[in-house]
Amino acid sequence: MSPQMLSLLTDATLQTLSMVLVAGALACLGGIPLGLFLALCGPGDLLPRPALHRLLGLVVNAARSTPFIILVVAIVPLTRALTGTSIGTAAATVPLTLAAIPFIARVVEAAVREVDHGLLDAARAMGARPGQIIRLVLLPEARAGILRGLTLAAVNLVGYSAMVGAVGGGGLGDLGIRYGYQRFMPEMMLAVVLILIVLVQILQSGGEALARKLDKRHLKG
Amino acid sequence: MVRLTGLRKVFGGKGKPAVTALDGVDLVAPTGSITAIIGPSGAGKSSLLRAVNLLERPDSGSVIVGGQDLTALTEADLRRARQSIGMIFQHFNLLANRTVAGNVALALELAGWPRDRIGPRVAELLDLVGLTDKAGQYPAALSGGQKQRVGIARALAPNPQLLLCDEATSALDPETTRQILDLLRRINRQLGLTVLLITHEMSVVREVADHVVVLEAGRIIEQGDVTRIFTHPQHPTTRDFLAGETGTRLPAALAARLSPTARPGDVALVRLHALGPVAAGPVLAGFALAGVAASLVAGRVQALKDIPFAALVLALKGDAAAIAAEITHLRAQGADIEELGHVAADAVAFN
Repeated sequence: MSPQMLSLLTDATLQTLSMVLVAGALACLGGIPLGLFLALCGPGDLLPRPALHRLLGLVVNAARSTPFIILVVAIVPLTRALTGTSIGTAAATVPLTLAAIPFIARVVEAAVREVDHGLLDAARAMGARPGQIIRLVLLPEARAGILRGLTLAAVNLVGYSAMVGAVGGGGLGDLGIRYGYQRFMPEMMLAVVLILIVLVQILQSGGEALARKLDKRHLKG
Repeated sequence: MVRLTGLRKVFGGKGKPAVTALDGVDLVAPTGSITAIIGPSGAGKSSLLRAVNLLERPDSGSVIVGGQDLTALTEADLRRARQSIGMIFQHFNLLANRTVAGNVALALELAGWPRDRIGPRVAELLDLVGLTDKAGQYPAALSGGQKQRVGIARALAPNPQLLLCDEATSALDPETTRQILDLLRRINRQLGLTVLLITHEMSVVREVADHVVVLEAGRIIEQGDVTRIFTHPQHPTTRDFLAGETGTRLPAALAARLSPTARPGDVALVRLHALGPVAAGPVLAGFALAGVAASLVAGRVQALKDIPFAALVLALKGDAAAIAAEITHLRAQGADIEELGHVAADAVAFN
């Protein structure tokens, strides 16, 4: 492998990492609160806001059913307004973030709804305010599930970040397509795929290890 | 004291069939007593108990705990009132991600106790329920009985005046059930705590209750002192519950052969409930002295509040007048005797 190739791979890996991390962090900022709202504000939930809940549910579903590659193109004006350009790593972060927010919202919602309803009864019987129930009961009990969901989201982001490569987003996907496919360099393609596999592996096992550490529901031998 | 008046609760409606869970329930649980609410599943027991701390708000009626009508309180005042009502659950409802000590501390954190007072109070409670050595464990490492002890410690933490027990022993084995009931009894005596519990097991009632409330289809069909309910049950449902507990429920084959009138050669079946000296006395010999052959078909003698309590099904063969005289005699001594009917002698192995 030539030094040139190596430097291309290093740059691309760093670009992918930055896209995944920045988009992931921003999406958490939007997705976790949205997920909590979806889990807590439905009809019959702790803090019912049925009308807004319905509306946000529809928006989340609409965003999740839009194919990612179409989303990327469709929001180019927004991307330009936010980053001044529609190509490159920074620009790619915008659609990545937007795609990850509804995904994270749904996994957070699922994790919070998984918490045993009996715990809500116990907390209410102890005189807990809704805010205390969320802070002291729901979030601590759901944290392992939330973390597993976020791991899933991070792995998905790695996949999506490879896709934005196709529209000039930079990163490993871009490298794989331009060098590996279009210039027919199978060793480059192989290197890109291997790096992606390693990246996903690290995210998955890191996330799972942390979730296990936080999860006290089962006895560990 | 807990006073429930005219509680009604209907579930469903809006297209779904309405289910009446509580149909006008009036109940008084005196301070410092253990009141057991028993009934078949679907009788409304859980709705009744959950109405006491308004986890389920009744459609109408009042809930007075410690002189305060909870149904009239604002949300904030209700939350404060709930801190003086502890509750334990069939499935314990402990936080899996908090240690034993952390679970007990939660009740105090929610009640707004200062941090420096929480630690000593938690230690005190873990000592009370015998779990001091488990303070740092997570619930997953505990047995069912230990989890319920944590639940009890948590419920008692903010010094409540009332403890609600929602089928607290139904998920436990008989030996663990006995230990938890002993603990409840001990707490009731030591702390003067009023306890309201629901159960579908008459054995739980026999072991801990002072007062019994029998619930069926959302209505109280019978209530009274536990001794009275066990020795003189009035309602057929109460009798049936009791028969299950005392082993005096007639086998179906035998029950099918019962006839209200006697044919020649028949024997009379009676069910007898008696407490104290009568229960411990020579009941069978009494019949024999009257010239009546009495044989034991089913039943047992158990302790009811440490006093012998007999529940027996007897087959009596002899002169009808002699049988009636002996029954009258036993009733005069305080026994409850239910005449079940007559069967052919061979049905109960008389020849």
